Amino acid sequence: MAAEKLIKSLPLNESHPHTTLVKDCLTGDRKAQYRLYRLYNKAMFNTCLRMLNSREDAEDVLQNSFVDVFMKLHMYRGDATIGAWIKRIVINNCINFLKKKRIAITELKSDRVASIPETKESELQLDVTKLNEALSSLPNGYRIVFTLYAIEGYDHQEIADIIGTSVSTSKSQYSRAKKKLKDLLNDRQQLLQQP
Amino acid sequence: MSKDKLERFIDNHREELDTEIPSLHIWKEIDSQINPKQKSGYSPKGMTRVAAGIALLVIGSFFTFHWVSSANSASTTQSISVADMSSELEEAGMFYSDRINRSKARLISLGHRDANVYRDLVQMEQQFEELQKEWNENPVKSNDHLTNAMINNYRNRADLLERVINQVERRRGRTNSFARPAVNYE
Repeated sequence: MAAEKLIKSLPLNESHPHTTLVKDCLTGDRKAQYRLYRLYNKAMFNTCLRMLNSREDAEDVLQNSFVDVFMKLHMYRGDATIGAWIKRIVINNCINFLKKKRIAITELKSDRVASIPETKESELQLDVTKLNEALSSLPNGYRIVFTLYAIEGYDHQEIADIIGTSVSTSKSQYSRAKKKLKDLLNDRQQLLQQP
Repeated sequence: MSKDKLERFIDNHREELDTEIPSLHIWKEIDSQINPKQKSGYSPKGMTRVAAGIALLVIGSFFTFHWVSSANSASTTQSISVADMSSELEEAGMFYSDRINRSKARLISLGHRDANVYRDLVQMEQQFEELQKEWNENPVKSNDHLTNAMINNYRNRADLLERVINQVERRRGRTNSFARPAVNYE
């Protein structure tokens, strides 16, 4: 009864999809909890993989993140969609994991990328597999900022807040990451075209 | 700022970038942490009641054990394994049903019309129903073998659909576009 009272008092945004599912999870309904996990586990796991570049680490962080999600679900107020809320928990846990492992997130200086040639737009041949492979070959700092901006859709102010850097650093890191990624894609393309 | 070719490609293929699936055991780990079977943190004040409860439980278990032994050959360990198997089956069912339904929808959207595939699927679904009937008739006697057969049936159906989708998409010159997640961030 206390749980029902608490749930009724939550100012959840009824217009969001999955509001009922969230409310069911708050009553301790295990099937609802599993449905919420099933709805987001693949997307969140792939986010973890791109951030951490290791299947084992990604599974650890995914597991801890969903435990956090269910433990903190009463704090969800519906300001963002539940998917965006879960994603923010996952991203924060990835960043904390990298920091604990002392993996540099914004380590690359401009002199190390000065020699990267600009790949011509029209020459780029893109497909999902090649892009995922090239992305996993990027150095940590580049891969993380590129993932957050181009794939997860955060803006540079949000990225600066997430990784603890300045907006200008996030912008320059992203720009270099994109150049490096295009370069890697171009290299693979040329390798495949060799007789 | 206008987007370049790479950024536009990512926007247009965002869901297809998510190609990997986490291991099945992850949910079990999460579930055991958010729904612990035994709660800790008893207060000293409640210890007497706890002790009384344990005593009742021991006495009750003693009589229950004798009643079960004489009425039925099923042992208490079998009861525990049935509960575990049911839970495993339920989780696998939810996981694979989702994959199967998404793949069916994808296959339909691709306009696939091969009657052989649909006939095989129906046959596998019938086999599953038979296994399920057997399970429902006597879950106590149902064993690991039956549970595994049902999970394998789910897996075979999911794999069959995904193989066919891959073949259809390869023929159309596309790669890596099956099993897109139905929902991402709304």
